[in-house]
Amino acid sequence: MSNASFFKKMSSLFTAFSSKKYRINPAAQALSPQQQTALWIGAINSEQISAYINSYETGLDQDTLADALEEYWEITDSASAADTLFSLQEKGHRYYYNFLLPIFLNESPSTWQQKVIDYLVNNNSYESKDEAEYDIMKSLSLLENLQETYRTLEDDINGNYLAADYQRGIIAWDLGRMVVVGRMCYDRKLIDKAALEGILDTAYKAIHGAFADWREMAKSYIIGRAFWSGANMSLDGIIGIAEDLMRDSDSPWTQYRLS
Amino acid sequence: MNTRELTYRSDYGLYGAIIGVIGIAGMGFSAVNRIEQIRYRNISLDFLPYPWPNVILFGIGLFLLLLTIHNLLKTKAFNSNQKKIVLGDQSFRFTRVEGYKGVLTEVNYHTITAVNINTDSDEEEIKIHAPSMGLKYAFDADDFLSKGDYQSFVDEIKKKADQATIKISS
Repeated sequence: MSNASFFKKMSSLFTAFSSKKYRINPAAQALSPQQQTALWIGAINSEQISAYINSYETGLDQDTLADALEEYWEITDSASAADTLFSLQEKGHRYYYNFLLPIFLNESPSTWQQKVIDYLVNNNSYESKDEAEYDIMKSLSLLENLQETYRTLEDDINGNYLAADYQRGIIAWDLGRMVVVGRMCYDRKLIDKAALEGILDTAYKAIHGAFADWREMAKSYIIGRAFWSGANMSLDGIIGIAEDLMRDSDSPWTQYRLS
Repeated sequence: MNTRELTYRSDYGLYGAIIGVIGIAGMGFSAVNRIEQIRYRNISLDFLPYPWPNVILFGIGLFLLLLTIHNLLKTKAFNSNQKKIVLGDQSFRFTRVEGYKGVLTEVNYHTITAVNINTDSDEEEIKIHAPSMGLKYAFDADDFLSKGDYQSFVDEIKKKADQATIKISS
């Protein structure tokens, strides 16, 4: 058994024994099929934090929510919540992915840095040199992640990911996180119900036409995760959660179609 | 058509030459000296009287010499055709060793069905399987001029072998 496979199995076991999968909120309000589907766009992330699978509320306590939002998202108030959610919706990591993938596929590595600089300088108005340098370094780091994981990702259900899967992009990664962060912000009363429903509606409309089924969407999420952090143990854990969602009989992904 | 060339060669190697010299020395020694007994410390092979020690040493020397010649010929075949891999848009060319001949081989990226990339630093290599061409071949990272050239080759395969299952092992 390879190390990756071992850690994936251990991660699945850990998830199975340490927390209940697919937590049901008994007090959940009735949701439309679109609203349910939108919730499940964030199912991988939601399972990662053991949130309810069937409601706007996550079921996490306020301290956990506050710590997670601040530590991982730098969200401390309504303004920072709005900024982050807007960024995920409009830009996310797909902004980088969409210009870095063609560079990776078509350009020699020796020219990557110049191509990245050209693109970023031509398409942004940086207020400082530091800001530009940060963006350049971040892009080069993401390119390395892409180089490391391109065409080598796989899961037990879909098998090896093909070039077409990478061409489809990583919108599921951005919007899946947007849904869960939106729910966490709603629980913390940093956004109201109408704002959360707006987020869910945006996610549903973007994902609904973009993927044929949950399996295709899962690949987009996993490619996005690998693009962001490279191949590491936590990626194996994410893939394990996605495999369970695609396989378990009590998973919403096996009970309901994406479309 | 855009093409790019990477240096891909096999070195003759110092160890191979040393083994060959040891072989020749063993053969020479056994030819001009009478060896009465094979003995090492308290162990002696008394049941092998002269001329068997000479025959055995000569045989070992001959084996080492033939092994060296075999490796030299394989290396010569490997390095025929200008020691390079030529990467094209649709295919790549390299020299494959068949027997003691270097055979120029062209592989269409679309015919590759499986790729296994071993990232272990001691055994870094990429194995390519193209059954329709009868090809199953391992490209050793050490046979490339630099680590960068090897990585370029791996990246090219990952990008263009669009029908292949690609696995990483370590």
